[in-house]
Amino acid sequence: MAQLETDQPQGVRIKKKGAARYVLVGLLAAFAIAGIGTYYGFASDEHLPTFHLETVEGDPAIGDAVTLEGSYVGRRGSRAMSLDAAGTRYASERDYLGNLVLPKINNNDPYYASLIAQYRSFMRGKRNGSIDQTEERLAYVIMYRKNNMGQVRLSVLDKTTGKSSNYRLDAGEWNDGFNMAVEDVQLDDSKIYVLVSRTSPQQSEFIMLTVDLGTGQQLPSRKVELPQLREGETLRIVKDRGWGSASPYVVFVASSSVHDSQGDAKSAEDADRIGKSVVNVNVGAFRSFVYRYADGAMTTFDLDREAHRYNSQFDLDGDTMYMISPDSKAPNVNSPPSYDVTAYSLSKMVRTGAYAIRASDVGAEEMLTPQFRQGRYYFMAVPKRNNGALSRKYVFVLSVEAATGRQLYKGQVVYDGSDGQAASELSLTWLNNMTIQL
Amino acid sequence: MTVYMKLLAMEVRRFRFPLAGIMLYTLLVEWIVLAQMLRSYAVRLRPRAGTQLGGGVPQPLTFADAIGNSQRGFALAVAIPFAVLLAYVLIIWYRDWFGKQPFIYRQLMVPGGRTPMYFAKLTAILLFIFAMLAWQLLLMPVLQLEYAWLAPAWLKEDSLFTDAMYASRILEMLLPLDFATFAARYGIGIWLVLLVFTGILLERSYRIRGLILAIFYMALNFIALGLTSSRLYPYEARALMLTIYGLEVAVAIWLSLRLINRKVSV
Repeated sequence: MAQLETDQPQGVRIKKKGAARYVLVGLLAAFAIAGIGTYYGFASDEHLPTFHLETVEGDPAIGDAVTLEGSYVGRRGSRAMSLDAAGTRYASERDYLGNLVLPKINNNDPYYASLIAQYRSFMRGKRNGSIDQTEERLAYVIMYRKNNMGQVRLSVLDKTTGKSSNYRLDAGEWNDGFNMAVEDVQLDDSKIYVLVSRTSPQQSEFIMLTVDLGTGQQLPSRKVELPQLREGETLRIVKDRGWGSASPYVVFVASSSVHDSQGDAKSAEDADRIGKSVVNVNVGAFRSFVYRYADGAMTTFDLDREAHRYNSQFDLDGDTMYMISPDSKAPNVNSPPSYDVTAYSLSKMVRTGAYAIRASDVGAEEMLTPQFRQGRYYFMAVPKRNNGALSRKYVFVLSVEAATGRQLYKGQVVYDGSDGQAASELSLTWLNNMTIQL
Repeated sequence: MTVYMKLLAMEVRRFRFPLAGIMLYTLLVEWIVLAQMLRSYAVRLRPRAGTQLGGGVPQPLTFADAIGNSQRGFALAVAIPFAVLLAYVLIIWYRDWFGKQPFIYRQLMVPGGRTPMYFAKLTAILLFIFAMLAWQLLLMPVLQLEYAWLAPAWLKEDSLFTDAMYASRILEMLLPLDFATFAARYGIGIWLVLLVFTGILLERSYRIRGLILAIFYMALNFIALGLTSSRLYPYEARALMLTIYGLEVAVAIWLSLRLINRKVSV
């Protein structure tokens, strides 16, 4: 039998030499386990610097609700990270397998996450849509195109009974070259309002869809009559984002921009050449219009021309609209030394307050990322870095009462290691693009 | 168990010289790449006495920086051995059929059944892969010694071991710093080895028809692992995927054992 006349060496035969034949297997296995085990047991990922948010003044509970998200950049590359009062978490690739195939859900959005936690069944499969809620109801709206028509799918949850209702609303024609989107959704006691935009490069119009929650009927849609935009004007929509009291209004802000130069720079090219930046992009024309959902009334409202800047941020909180603007003389509008805050009553059409928040008041140099939640503004205030190095105590987190500017909380990001460790660890460490998450 | 251990010892012994060869290759290439890197850096940026001339301001270069500046060399040093190991996933079976005197005759007739043969081959492959990883980890301190020996004093600066692992993209890919990532990556790797083994046994059992079946079977596994629904929350989708993964691994082993015990012939 040819197949048995093999010229394989004796070494491959099964019967031979007792335990000696296993030495190589044992050595290889021990080598692999010891090497990889030592690496993951002692040498791998546990040496990234950690920080926490420490309360300096005010109610620690306010700080407990704050998370700073951004990225670590240092000797160990860059990593997404977040920190709060409890400590630091570095984004790992723990979900590596999952990230390949899992659906991307707005789980990182704390508002979405809290809704999922509370209304798990209702929120299932709901992503990327618009949401509004009152104490009694939760509404979710998403728009899609079907046969060149804009369709809105609306789901409303009755929080007391746990029952949900679904509606399909017709938003009119959606032709090629146009885009349609849900701009806002508002619930009140008896109705739900969905503000839809239809835009093309040449024009934009807004349509209000209304559902009577008592009868479940869609009321006739109405066009929102906005004055014609002037040349160079852009339109911003200031809406209730669910971060404060429900607002019965939506505000349209039309403005055009004018580029001012700083110092000797007369243009962006000039600024580049002499190493200065054109920073002041000021508002040229500026008009605002307040639309009341309940009756469709549109009113022109003259906001303070001087207080408004190109980078102004608007927040609605019930009847009040806040406008928060970076210092007009700031060398960088994204990190100014102060912010001006102005409050307006939309029902009375008057200014109700104005104040400034200054980084210097807390011993810092720059302010970052104002965030509005539940009648409060949250800021980060960054101290000057010593020769570019991160110091052991770093950025401040401030919370102020939005209406008055009264400071409610002051916290500071602190490195967890010792002063000695800080000297070597933080000399080449940056915490970049940090934003406040609430 | 005894048969399995004997077969495993035999598989390890059969690959001992190629394994030693690729280990030596990795050591030599990494040693040369690092030495060349340090030399060129030192020549380019060394301080020159009594003159302002020179390639630039002399700056320290840590061991991690040196590894980071040698991306291509390290990729070459690591990729080829791992390509050899991947090829051996096929060779470990086909060499038994296509050798001068087909050894598969004897393997299939070993008393104790054919199941130990399947697991011996699987274990051997995994052992080679993890031994190569451990070898790479062992090489890092060796290379650190080389750095301490070859780098001029003005160039030297301390760096951490993990910094060096982070600095190289190929090393970070093969040995991620987070163990969960390591487990996930090599979990996928083991799943792939199992699928390839099943594919080989399908081909050996049904020849051309088996090859077509194997391709279809692998495609099906890939598609099934990606099955999910936008209605699932992330942890539900993850649980579903892990369940499918577990099922696919179980089916691959079951099907392979069935084929090797009942279908495979010489």
